Amino acid sequence: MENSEIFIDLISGNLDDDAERQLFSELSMNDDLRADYKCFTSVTDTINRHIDSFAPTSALKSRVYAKAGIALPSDFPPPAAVTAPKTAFLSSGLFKSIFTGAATLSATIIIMLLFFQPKNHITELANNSGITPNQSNGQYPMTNSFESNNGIAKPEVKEVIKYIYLKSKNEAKSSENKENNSEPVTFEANRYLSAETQLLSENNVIANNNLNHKELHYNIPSGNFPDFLTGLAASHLFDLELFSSASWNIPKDKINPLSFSKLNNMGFNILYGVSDDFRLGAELKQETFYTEYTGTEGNKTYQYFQQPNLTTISLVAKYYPYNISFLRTFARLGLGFNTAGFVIRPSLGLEYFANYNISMQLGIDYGYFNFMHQNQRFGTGKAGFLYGVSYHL
Amino acid sequence: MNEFHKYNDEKLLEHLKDGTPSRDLAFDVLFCRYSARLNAYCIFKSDNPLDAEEIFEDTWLKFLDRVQNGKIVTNILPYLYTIARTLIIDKYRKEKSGKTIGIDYKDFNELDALVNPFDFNLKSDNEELLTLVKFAVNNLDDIYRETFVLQWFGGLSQKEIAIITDTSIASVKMRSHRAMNEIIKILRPHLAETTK
Repeated sequence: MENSEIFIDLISGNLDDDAERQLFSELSMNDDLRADYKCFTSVTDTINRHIDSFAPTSALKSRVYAKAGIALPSDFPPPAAVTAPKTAFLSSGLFKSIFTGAATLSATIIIMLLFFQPKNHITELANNSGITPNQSNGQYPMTNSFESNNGIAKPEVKEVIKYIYLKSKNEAKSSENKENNSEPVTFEANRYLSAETQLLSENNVIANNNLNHKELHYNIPSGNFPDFLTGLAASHLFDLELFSSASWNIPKDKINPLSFSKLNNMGFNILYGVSDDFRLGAELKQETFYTEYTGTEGNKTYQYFQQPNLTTISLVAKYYPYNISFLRTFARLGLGFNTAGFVIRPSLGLEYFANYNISMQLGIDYGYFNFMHQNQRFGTGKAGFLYGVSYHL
Repeated sequence: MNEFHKYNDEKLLEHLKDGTPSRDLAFDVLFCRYSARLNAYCIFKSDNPLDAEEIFEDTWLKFLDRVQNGKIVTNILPYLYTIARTLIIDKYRKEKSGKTIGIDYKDFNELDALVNPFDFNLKSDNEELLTLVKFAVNNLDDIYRETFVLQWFGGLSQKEIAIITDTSIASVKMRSHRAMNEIIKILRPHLAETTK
């Protein structure tokens, strides 16, 4: 008699006294049997404890009642609430996007309130130096549901929802090596600062030794110096960025994951300042991509719909083409990979330097996700807004 | 909570044959009492969530219809399972004969959530274990899965399962312990890890 059989008999009350005594005696001596027993009780306990988690949804319940001609109990939520119960919004992707965005913005505001007083900061700089306070004027491959090679016929009437964990560790390769061999970005002299100011910024004198500013005098062309903060920021060696995004899947999603990660759409970058206007670094982002693709199993052709949670690691290049007062425009390109495939993520946006160390960014981005299934490549995308906060070291 | 929640199944079944509103109240209590267990069976027995919902709905409608037409039911849950099982067999038999494609469903999203390092939804070991149990059950062969679900999610005795599945008690017993063996085999490494 196998272990599980004995356990089941014990629980069902079918084990006679002698066998029961023998079992408990064995349990005290046999580690393996004890481990099996623990596992068995864990399974049965877990099922019993969580059986209510299988209760039908309110929508399903109301459908049954409606079809059966049964009046819903008075304490049952009204139809509107049935389709959108309070918790539905809380667990929705939209709420999580809003929540992560709000969290990021809140963090930014707190950091600003704690460490940054814009007016004082500028005045202090002005008092300690000859600088006049700044009064700034201051075709990607669209996923086709029935995308297939010529050799594979289009599915006929086949409506299948198949949840499958995307294979691909070995099938989809990272695109890290696809980084183009662009010319090294040459350092471009700050267009707005005089030679002395540039030297000052490069050496971080203002940051590290404010007391010396009184002794410094600059020839500042009038109307041509609104960007000293930007210039200073450019001299930082590392940028740490925390960002989030609100994205829309292309094509529109038909299913959601069983659960979204709480950090869905959030990411973290660490960038190294190769030059004033060029950064290179790494990104870690938690996200989902909605995918539609086809595959065959046996003689059958399936259409798959999925929206897996993915953690993408990317190589990121960020270029600042224009500086406008406290604002810098940026173009960013991320080339990354996750367990299912590779991701190309271009984005454009504005970065606002709140002070020497902190900046906030807002932009638009597009994520293209390419993966392989049964030796066929499929792609999908999403577009959205990007927002975040950067700390410059 | 209405007075009907105190009634036993037999009394509720009597009210189910009455006109509204006592019929409605009786149905509501029976629904609350058995819907989770029936739904678990439909989910594990169906190939996809949409089919599971359809079977679940039709089971209750058939149950109500039969009771109102004088069917004498002595044990409600096994009867619900019997209806659901018949509906599932009919459904997939029709699909097969209609030459529509077979449907396969494995909820790998749950596994995905488990292996995802950024997913903090699995707050407790218990919830994580439930996810693992579901995953393990989903991966059992159909006959073992059915026996396992009826026994542990449905709370039925092996004798009741034998009647529903139209097999001998010995077969049910064999399927039951084989299923449990498989589940233990899958879960033991995880449990050993968590108890370390």
